[in-house]
This record gives sequence, structure tokens and C-alpha cells, in this order.
Amino acid sequence: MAERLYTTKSRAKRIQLDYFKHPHPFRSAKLWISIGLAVVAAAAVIVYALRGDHRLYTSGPVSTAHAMFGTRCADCHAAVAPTAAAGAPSRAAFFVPVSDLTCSLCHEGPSHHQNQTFTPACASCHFEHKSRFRLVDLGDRQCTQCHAGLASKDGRAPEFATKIASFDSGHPEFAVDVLRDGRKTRVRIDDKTAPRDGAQIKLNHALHLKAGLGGLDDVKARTGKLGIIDRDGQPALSCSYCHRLDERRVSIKPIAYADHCVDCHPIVSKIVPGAVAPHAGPRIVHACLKMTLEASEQRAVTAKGGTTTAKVNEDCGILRMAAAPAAPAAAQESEPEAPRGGRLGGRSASSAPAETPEPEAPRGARLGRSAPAEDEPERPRRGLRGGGEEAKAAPEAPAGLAQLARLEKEIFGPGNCAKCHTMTPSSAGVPAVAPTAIPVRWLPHSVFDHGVHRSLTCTECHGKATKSTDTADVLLPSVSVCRECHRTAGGARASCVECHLYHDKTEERDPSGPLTVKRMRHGASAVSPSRSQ
Amino acid sequence: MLLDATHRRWIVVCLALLVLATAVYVPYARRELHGPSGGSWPGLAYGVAGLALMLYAGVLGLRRRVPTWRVGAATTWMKGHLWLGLLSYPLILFHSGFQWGGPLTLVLMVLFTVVVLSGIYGVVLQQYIPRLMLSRVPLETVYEQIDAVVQQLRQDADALVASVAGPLPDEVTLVPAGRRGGGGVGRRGVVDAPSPRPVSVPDGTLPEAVGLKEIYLVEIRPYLAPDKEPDARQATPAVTAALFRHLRTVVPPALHPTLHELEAICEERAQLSQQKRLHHWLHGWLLVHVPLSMTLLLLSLVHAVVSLRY
Repeated sequence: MAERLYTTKSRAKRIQLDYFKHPHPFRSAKLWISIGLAVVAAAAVIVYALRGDHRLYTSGPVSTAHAMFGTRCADCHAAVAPTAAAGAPSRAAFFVPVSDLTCSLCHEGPSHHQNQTFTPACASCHFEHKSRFRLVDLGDRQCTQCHAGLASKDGRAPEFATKIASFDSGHPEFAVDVLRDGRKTRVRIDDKTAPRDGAQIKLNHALHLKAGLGGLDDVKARTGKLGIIDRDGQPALSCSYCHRLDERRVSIKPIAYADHCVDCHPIVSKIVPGAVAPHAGPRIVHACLKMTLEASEQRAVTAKGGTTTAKVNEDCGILRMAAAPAAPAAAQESEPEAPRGGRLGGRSASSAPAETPEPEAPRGARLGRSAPAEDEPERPRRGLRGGGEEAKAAPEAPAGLAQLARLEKEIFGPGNCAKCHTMTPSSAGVPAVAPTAIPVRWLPHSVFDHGVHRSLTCTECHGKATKSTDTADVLLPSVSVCRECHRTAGGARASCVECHLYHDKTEERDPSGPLTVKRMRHGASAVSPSRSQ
Repeated sequence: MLLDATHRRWIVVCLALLVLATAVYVPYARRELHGPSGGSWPGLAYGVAGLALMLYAGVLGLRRRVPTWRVGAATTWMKGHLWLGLLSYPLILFHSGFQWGGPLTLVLMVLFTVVVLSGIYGVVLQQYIPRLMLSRVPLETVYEQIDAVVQQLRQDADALVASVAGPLPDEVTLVPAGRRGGGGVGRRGVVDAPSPRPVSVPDGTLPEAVGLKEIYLVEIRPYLAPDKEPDARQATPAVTAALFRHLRTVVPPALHPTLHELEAICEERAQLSQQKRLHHWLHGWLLVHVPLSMTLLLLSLVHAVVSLRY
């Protein structure tokens, strides 16, 4: 290395002592970049503020259902409790959590149980700004905070399982309401004395699922209905021939004679060819049979009878319509999801009397229809054994009112009505039909989505159906069947909300809410004070 | 700042605080039904503590701007900036529940992460580069004065050459090389083949210095220009030494002392170039760290106010 030319002192003298007072590119760059970035950030904040868009400050995206409120914090974080009328404009304040009053502007949120020890605030369960698609997708801890050590407000022993930590731990076996000794009793399906279905209908599942039932090919060819499958080279009914999903693809629709039975079991007479009885109450059937015979007599009197079987059927339809108010319970059949909320003790029974019209019927979910339904739609009776259009072509044998008793005995007898229904002879002449009392929902405390389980064969869960010969057999699967897939540690989801709802939906208010479109779109501040009062 | 034994106390205190914060956070996070969030009371406490430490770390810039403030030694502030600023990061993570949140909080966390990482990067560099500078740049000067010193070096070199070879022109137009010589610097000209054109020799100067003058003007003087970064090849001490070894073979021995001094000037120039590069490494990260820190503090205050509002 070369010798140094200068000493330290001589080099130090080359330094300008006030150099730090003059701008240097490095320091200047640092300063101007700092100022520039801060200005850009401040400008962004100001632009958002001028646009009235608060999304910048959200702690996370709001749920899908609340997306329209995502730009206005004050819509939910109102400093003033909103009025039921329209929601008062909020005023500036700090620490403004969402109150239950704000939620109740749109949601009723009925309580869970009258005897619960406390009612949590809406926002304590439905926690927003967590990027949730659905706010009802809660964790088990919301439920187990009570159900892991269930207590009641009045101090009495709860009627439900008291230590449920999760679906895997502590969840009891499924239980159903059945009649025992004339009393409605809740029985677990693994009970020593197995619960018996109290439905008054005679159905042999094993027989119906047997391969090679006669006439199925004919039914398939005539109706084109789904659900007739090939099993071991022979036609057979599949479960879905009768048990079909409702329009929402969630629940199984109730069995209806006109949809599921008539193709194989038409109500026809062998005594009076062409005489067809509707699937209606005994009095309607009686009236229709009487009209049929009267028409036959008329045809026998007049050389050219103008009355046809179709005309008689039309008259029968008018009769059924006239008699419809006498059977209001049958209307429940078309609302399979209605019993969902009927699970809060005795309240649902009082609020939805139509669901449990018969005192002896099991709780809440019973149809209670006076079968056969009075208002079932008329279908052309084209059974396996003839009738309907085919019967019209057959030569009509002369018949008279004298035959009515014989005809009624045939129609109400084991070959027709009594084949499925429990018929009770009556002194008035027309027998009574025992209400079918088929449960629409066996487990009213939960919501089971059959649609999402459509990839499974029915008998995977309802395995007992293939061997069941008695209607009284309860064919529900055990909870252990569910646990084969739904496990907390891996597998399908096993959280409480997969099956259970917290709020009693039957207690929700009228769907006409208090808000206006303007209020919804622009917030409470856009509503004039006069209008908001 | 060199991490030495004087940092031990800061490290211990910060680790203890971190352990305490974690011990509080774990049961809190497990207890909360919806997981930890910044809006809960523990979350707010973490947020306030974290923001306070961030503000403290940010005040270091003010402290440096006003060195006359009697608010503690600058090294103490620097240590606090380093360790408390680092501690603020896990506190803010506890505040957020390890979630990014909305747009503003996402930006804040990204900024914060970059700021912390750039700070750690700067600390790591400071463990090596100052030592490197000490060994490789013994003639280190004030960074901002490097260009001024280089200007003076050139004036000194000009005077030195002029003293033996007569007055020098202000600038010399570079002559493209006719052929590449073996001197290793052929790009700039042919150092072993001085131009044959006659050079006037003023009184009191050595005629043998004509060659030195030409080589100086072509090769050395541009290297001493303060306004541009010298050629990396020439900035290498080995190349500079090779150049002057070669020059000693082509100029008379009487001029060797002058060559010796010129070599010293060139070496100082090379060191200053290296100092400049090392300085850019040592402080370049501040161009990221400081502006982002300022933006982070600004947006953090906005976040704090708006969050408390709701």
C-alpha cells in the first residue's frame, strides 16, 4: 500500500464544518419519500371519507346478508337506540357496540327456551366482521356454554341432556314422542322397550321394497315416474318412489295417496265396473258411490244415458270442495317445514294447534289428517286392476241404489280403504277412518337436510326399512349412524348448528318490517325526522 | 447499532414483557367465543400498548433531529427504538388476533411487517458493514463530504502532476484506443504507448514527465472526477496497484516519488468510492424503513380513532 499523502489533520480540514446544514440527496430523498407516502395515505383516507364509504375502516368483511350495510358503520353501530319506526339517526360517540335493538329492526330473534338461565346478546353469537358467509354458522361453544352444564332458570332439572360437550361427547341418542298408556312419552330409540310408531296406516316396507312386484313395469310405462328401478333383473320400487324431496330439496314430502299409492292401489269396484271412489272421507265416498249408482239407474231407465262416469267424478269433485272446510288439518300436509320450531316445550303445541289436532297424536309433528284427505287432487283412476278410462270402455252393468250397501262394503273393506286405513264401523252406516297420524318430522328439535345426503343410499341410514313389516316399526337411524361420518376430529362437520336452530322460528313476528327502502339504502341519516317518528 | 452486552438488559426486559403478554393472550384467546379481536378489552389493551411503543419508536426521528434535547442519551433511545419497536409487533399481532381484518388494517399490518423486517435487516447490516468499512476504508470521511473531498483530491493530483509536467488543461478528450495494450486498462487508452504528438514542455519542468502527464490526463484524472462513480475495475486496489507498477516501468525513476503520491491519492479515491457503496448498503434500507414508518404511524392513528368511534 502506498504511503499516505496527508495526515488525519490535513484530511479533517477538508471537511466543511456546516455540511449538515446543506441538503444532501440521500437525506432529501428520505424526507420527500416520507412526506409523499404520508400525503398519499392521507389523500386515500380523505377520498373515502368524502365518498361516505366506511369500508376502509372495517375490521373485516361483513357477512353476505349484511353486505348492503358494509359501507356505513353507523347503520349498525348506532349511538342512539333506533326506534322501531325507522331508526333514529346516530350521533357521534365512541365505543358504540351493536345493540340488540338495532338487530331487532330486521330480526325478531325469538328466545331459545323460556327456562334458559340467560339470553345472550345478538352480537355475542352472531359475530360480524369475521368474513363469514352465514352468521348462523356458529361454533359449538355458543351452545355448550349452556348445554355443557345445563341449568334452568327455575332451578328444576332440565328435560334435556345436561352435559353435552360436542356431538361426539354427551349428545344423547335420538328420542321420539310416542304414545304409551295413552300418554305422550318421549322415548329414546335405543330404549329397552323399543318405541312404536303410532301411525294408523298399514304399510309393509319390506313388501313394497321386494323385487318383482306385479304391474310395476306397467306403472312405469304408463306414468313414467322415477323410482322404479331394476333390482336383480326385476322391477322394484326404490325408496324415492314414495319418499320424495320437497321443493326446497331439504325435507321429505309427506306421503300422498294421489302421488304415491294410486298407481298401484286405485279405489275401484269389482261389483260395479266403472264405479270409482275418490280418496276422500267416508261421507264423500258414500255420496259419490250413491251418485254413481243413481247415474247407472238413470242410464238403465233412459235408452240413451247422458250421464257418464266422468260427469259423476266431476260431481264428486264438487262434493269434496264443498266438504273441504270440514278437514282443515289436511292443509298442513303441504307445509312440511312448519313443525321446525315446534320444539320448545308446550308452547308450540298451543301456538300450532293444527299440527296436533288429535290429543292422542304424538307431539308437534303429527299430521293428524283425517285420512284419506278430503281435498286431495283428483287423479284419473288408472289402477292395475282397471278403472278410469279403461272402465269407461267396459260395458256398464245395470246397478241400483239397492247395491249401495254392497258397494260401500266393498269400497270401505279390506280390498280398498281398509287395506291401508283403520276403519271403525259406525252406527250411522258410514264407517269412520282413524286419523293416520303419520309424523311429518320425527325429530322436531333438529333440521335434517335429506338433500345434502342424496349421495347416500337410503338404506345406509334407514337399514331397518328393508325388513320392516309393521307400520309400528320406528325406522329412524341411531345417532351412532350419524357419527360414522360426522366427527369432531375430521370427517363431516359435527357442529351443533348443523342440525339445530337456536331461535324458535314459529315465534317470529309478522314479515312486514318497519324500514323503508330509502332507510335501507341510505341509512338512518337519510330519513327525515318527521318520517322517522 | 452494534448489538453488544449493553443490550442484554433491554433484551431481558422485552422478553419478559413478551412472555407476560403471551401468558395473558393464550387464555384470553381460548376463552373468547369468537376468538380474539381488537375490539375486546384485552384486544384494546394490546392495541394501546402496541401503538404506544410504535409512537415511542417513531419519536426517535424527532430525537435525532433535535440532538440538544436533554431526554436521555441517543444510544439509549436507539436501544429503546430497536427493542421496544420489535416488541410492539407481537403486541399488535395479539391485538389483531393474528388476523388481517379489513382494508385499512391489512395495509397497516403489511406496512408494519415491512417496517419491522427492514429494521431487522438494517440491524443485521450494522453488525457487519461498519466493521467492513473500518478495515477496508481506513481513510473514511463524512459521507456527505465524499464528493467535496474527491474534488480536493483531484486538485491535489492536478497540482502534483503540474509541478513536474507543466500546466494541465481543464479537461482532456478521451482518445479511443487504436489497439489494446497489455496494461489492463485498454478501454480508456493505450497506457504503454504514449501519443507521439509533440508536447510543449514549460520551464522548470521535466521533459520526461510528458508521458506521465499524458497518462495522468487519460487514465488517472477521469478516475478522480467527483461527479461520477469510477470504473469498478479501477476502484479495485489490485488494479490500481497494477496500473502504477506498470507506470513505474514507463516513466523515469525521477518521477517515481510523484507516482507514489499519485497512487496514494488514487487509493484514497478508491476507498471513498467503497465507502460510498458501503454507506448505501448500510443506510439504503432507511429509504424504506423511515417513510413507511411515518405512513404507518399516520394510518395507525386514523385506525385508532375510527375503531374507538365504533
